[in-house]
Amino acid sequence: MLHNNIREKVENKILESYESMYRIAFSYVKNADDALDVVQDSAYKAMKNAVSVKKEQYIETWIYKIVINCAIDFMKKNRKEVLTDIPEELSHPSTTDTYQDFDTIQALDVLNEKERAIVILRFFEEKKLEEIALILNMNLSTTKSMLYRSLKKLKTELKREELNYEG
Amino acid sequence: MRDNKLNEIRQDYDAITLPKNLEERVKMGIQQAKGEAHKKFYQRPVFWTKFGTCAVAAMAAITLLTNVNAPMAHAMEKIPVLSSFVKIVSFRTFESTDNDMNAKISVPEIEVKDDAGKKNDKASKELNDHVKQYTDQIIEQYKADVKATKGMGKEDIVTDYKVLTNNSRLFSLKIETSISAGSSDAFDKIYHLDKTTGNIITLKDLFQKDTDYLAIITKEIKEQMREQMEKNDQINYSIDDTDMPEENWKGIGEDADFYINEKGSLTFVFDKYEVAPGYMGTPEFAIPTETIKDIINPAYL
Repeated sequence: MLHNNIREKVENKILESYESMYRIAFSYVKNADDALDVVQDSAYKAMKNAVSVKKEQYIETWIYKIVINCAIDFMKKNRKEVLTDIPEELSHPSTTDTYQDFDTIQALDVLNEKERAIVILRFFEEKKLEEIALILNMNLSTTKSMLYRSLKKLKTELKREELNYEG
Repeated sequence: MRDNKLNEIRQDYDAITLPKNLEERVKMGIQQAKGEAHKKFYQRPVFWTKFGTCAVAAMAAITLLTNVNAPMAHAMEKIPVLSSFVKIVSFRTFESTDNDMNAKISVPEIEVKDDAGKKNDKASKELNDHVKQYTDQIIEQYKADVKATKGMGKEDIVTDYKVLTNNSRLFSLKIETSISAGSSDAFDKIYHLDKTTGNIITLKDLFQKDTDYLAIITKEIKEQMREQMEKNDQINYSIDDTDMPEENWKGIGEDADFYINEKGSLTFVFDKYEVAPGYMGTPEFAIPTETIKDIINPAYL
């Protein structure tokens, strides 16, 4: 009985969260087809292992953990991304399906996978630091310092982009 | 300044378009996982292994029939060679409807006669007993499901039979079952009768003693699986998964289902979920003659 309960709750949480899951995935893989793959894969993994979640309050953080890991794994398998300062044309993935041209989201590329997760979760998904620490399997102080470091990196990058634009 | 820039990025993030089929894909992922859990509920692997290790044996297929000249006496049996006529003489159907639960399970009965027209009771009974035992288990499972859900569940079981081969040497009978119950399931059991000996043959009988046929066949099938996966992204088999290695297919067992295809190759048939995720259906793999010609029992060459 308890079994069915947690599985039902996990399923409901997935159905509540898939829009966020998609945006997170998209921020990593940058195109709709791949983001859909990542989200479907994550929904499958979350449902498949639903019984391993011990407490209801952890369901959401656990789902986010799966999405981020799936997105990162996906990128590792499909090495299209290059995380350095490169001209815009080269940093856009060569997909033919719908992808959106985001100058500003590209800035996130200066961050490594974990740093990127922290920024997305904190500023776009509005998660608390404690939740983010759980999602990324880090302790709170490391999470905090990584966040500040990430913001610094972003600031530098955004300033650099501005300068480039101005000539 | 930093906040403004961050806001801009946030706006772009929020503006990421959600594809129309996003919900559908999510639901597919969920269904796939549920379907695989459903398989465990039926516990089929245990179920069939138990049955397959019956001394009087699961049915097996004869390979490489194309080159049979004169029928040879089976090396292990001292039964005189005979050629038989095998046919389905009747079938019973178990039918039941309980609200949203339905079962239609057809149980064929065969008759084996020698070329003088005399009935071979032993061979007939053996095969019929096997088929009956097998289908009885499916019927019992359905009854148990009805009981467990007090008839309020949703389930459709259809079991039917098909004669795959009926030539001078071999009679092959397939019992196919499909279950719809939220997600779906499909599995087959194939029985074979050597018409020249009147015996049921096991996979073991096809190969020479002390040869590692299970490993050789497993290796061949895995190679074919990898080739397919390499050529096509949509294809997926449950081998080599590092995430959940315990879910990987463990290889061919003695009770594996097989038949001889039109080209005369030993072909293995897998149930849904047995070697791949549900959407892959019931895959089949033909073993090239080259691969096994050295380990085949000469009686079947």
